[in-house]
Amino acid sequence: MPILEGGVGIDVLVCMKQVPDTQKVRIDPERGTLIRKGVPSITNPFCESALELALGIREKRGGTVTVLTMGIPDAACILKDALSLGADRAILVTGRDFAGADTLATSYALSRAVSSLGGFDLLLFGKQAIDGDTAQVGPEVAGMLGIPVVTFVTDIRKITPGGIVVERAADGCRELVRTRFPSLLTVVRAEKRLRMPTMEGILSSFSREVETAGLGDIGAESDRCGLKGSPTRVKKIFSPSNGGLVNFLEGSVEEKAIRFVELLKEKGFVR
Amino acid sequence: MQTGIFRQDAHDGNMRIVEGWRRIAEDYPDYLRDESGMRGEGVEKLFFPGSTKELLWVVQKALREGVPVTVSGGRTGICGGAVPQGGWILSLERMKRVVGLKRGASGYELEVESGLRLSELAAMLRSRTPEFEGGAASSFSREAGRYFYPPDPTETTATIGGTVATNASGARTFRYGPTRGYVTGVTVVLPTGELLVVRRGEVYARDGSFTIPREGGPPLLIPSPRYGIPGTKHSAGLYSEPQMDLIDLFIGSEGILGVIATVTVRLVPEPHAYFSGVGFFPSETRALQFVVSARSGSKRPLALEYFDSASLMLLETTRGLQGSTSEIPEIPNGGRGVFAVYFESEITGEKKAPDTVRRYGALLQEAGCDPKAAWGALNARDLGRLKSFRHALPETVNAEIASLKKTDPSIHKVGTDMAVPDDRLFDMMAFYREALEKERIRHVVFGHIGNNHLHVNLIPSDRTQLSRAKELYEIFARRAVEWGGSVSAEHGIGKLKRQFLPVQFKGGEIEEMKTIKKLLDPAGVMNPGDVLT
Repeated sequence: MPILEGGVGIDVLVCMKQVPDTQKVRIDPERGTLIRKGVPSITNPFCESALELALGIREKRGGTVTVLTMGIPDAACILKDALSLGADRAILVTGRDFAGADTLATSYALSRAVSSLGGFDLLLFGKQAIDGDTAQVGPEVAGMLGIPVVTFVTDIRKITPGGIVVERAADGCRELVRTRFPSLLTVVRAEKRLRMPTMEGILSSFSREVETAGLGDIGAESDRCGLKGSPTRVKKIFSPSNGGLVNFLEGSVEEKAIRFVELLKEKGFVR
Repeated sequence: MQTGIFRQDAHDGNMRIVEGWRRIAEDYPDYLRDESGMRGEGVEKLFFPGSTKELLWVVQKALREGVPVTVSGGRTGICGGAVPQGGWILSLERMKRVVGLKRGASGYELEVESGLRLSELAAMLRSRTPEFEGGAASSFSREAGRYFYPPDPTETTATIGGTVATNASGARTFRYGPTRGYVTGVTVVLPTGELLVVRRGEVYARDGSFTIPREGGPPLLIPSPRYGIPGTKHSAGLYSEPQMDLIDLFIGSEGILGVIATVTVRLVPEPHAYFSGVGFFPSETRALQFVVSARSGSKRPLALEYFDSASLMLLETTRGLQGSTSEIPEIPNGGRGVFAVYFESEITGEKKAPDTVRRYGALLQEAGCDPKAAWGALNARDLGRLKSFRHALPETVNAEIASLKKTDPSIHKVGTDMAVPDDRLFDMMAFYREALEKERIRHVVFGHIGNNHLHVNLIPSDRTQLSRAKELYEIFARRAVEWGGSVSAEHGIGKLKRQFLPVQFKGGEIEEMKTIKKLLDPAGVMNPGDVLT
């Protein structure tokens, strides 16, 4: 198992994604695809929440925060941004081999990167990216690494030497979940907004570099990466039409009940 | 068309007209108000012209019937300029077409109808397919996003016509100056029912008057103002300068000389990128020292804005109650004993960001600001958050006032708007503090400190405090004028601040303004009650 149990401090890896600012994206009505031209790229907002949680853990318990992304060379700017916010180290997994990856190939490449880096107590992911909206990559990486995953995390409640208690959003309630290190958490938009970069943080980020890693650096098989390693294809993206018609029945309860049964018969649901 | 007065066809087309006070009051109440909180009464008709010809038709009709008209733009003013006192309302909201675009020496010149909102203009300039036709449109669409219109009042729903009529300012006025510098042409429907076209650089004041050519008739002679105006940011009364350009008489005239129908503005190249930040200082003096050093270098910031400790504490205590405050980052120490300066700078090239940030880092440290606590913003997300921080305070003060009004509806904010010359910044601040310390009236001090233009916002809790706050306003205004400053650096006079015009100008000087008004608006139909009584 390459991920080591933490020492005094907590070593956190935050996996981040650069996404188009979907508030400024338009959909091509004919092809059903996103028109990305001229749309600014931003850090996926859920990843920002994950980063804020990670920085908060380091403030309270010490340790390190490493940020990682897979993407085109331009994606380094979101890592540079994370460095200015106080991340200790930043790694960009990049190269042609990774292009066109679906969630499986992405998860494989990220899990290889995590293993090759090693030594993390916690892996934090945004619960999903706002461009693909699959919410699959975090749990898939956990599966590939064989570590526990807690999804929809809203806050860190307690950190003990061997594990962590987190709050997660569930249907109509919040759950407190205890998990041991190492674990992977996927984070929803936390109440605490991402901090502002400080002047000191920005100044220090100018002298620090984003490290890059290719296929060989992370020990990945090329057949399992990028388009080659992607069994799924997006066939079509479309906006569902609002086809629902609600028929309100009028009259007394008795009249409505009679009419209701008639309608069920008309539709062939009852005889 | 060159500068001159023209007779133009006028028609009512298919203009929408709403008639009757009851209907206007019930269905169109927004047209009776602006951001001043004043409310208009007794309006008989509300017109929505869709073109200059329809606009001419309304003004000619008003002239024939002797009915006063009040022009209504975005109604974002805070001095009641757009609040009608009977008569008719002339809304320009349907006039928002692009008239023309041409390539100039240093950028583009764009002519638009005056009802176009600043937000709509900005969106059009960012768009890859701007709604321009002919002329320079095709070259502009290739360069979309690279040119912008610098005036940036906080209220982006303001119309271009309204901002020209009031010579509007904003935070970036510190670097770019107010609206005046970006207006190269206006067409004005005069209160005589004629159309005046003015191009910058064509008619100047000579021997005490402007000579305006008139098509098919003798030229119109208007005396040019002889009085002096402060060298600070200034927005009270008609503009004046030796050998001034005719266009400058109309810019900032608050609509008393005519209705602006179209405006030609200069678009300039957008900076490569922006950097903004907020420094937190342990004392007001330190914050002011940072301002002085930041503005003294050759690389002038775009904006320098101040927030005193009371302002920061108010923002923290009302966090989340106002939409705009939920976006702002956590302020160190809840604002207690902390004084902040917001600064904004351009980044001139791809590799220039480190130099710019380092320069501000050094300036902040010299003035006693801890760089671990100061905020910096280089990306759109953080630049946006700092913009929210800058915009949230006036809204928060207004919300405080709104809650006080529940107990006593006569309570209102008393917000000052004076600017003084650079060498009086420390004196004016000391004067404010000395006066405010003796009072128990709650207050915040914030604003455009780069231009020595602070807003002292007094939040009176009862009528006694309200009347004292008004006295303080006048005391501050007199002192600012005494020190070579302006009673109104940006808000203007409108209807609410008419009493302060005589603080700035002598009786004879106000008479000069009245003479100009009388010559252009002999029937007194245009925006009655604004600026001059």
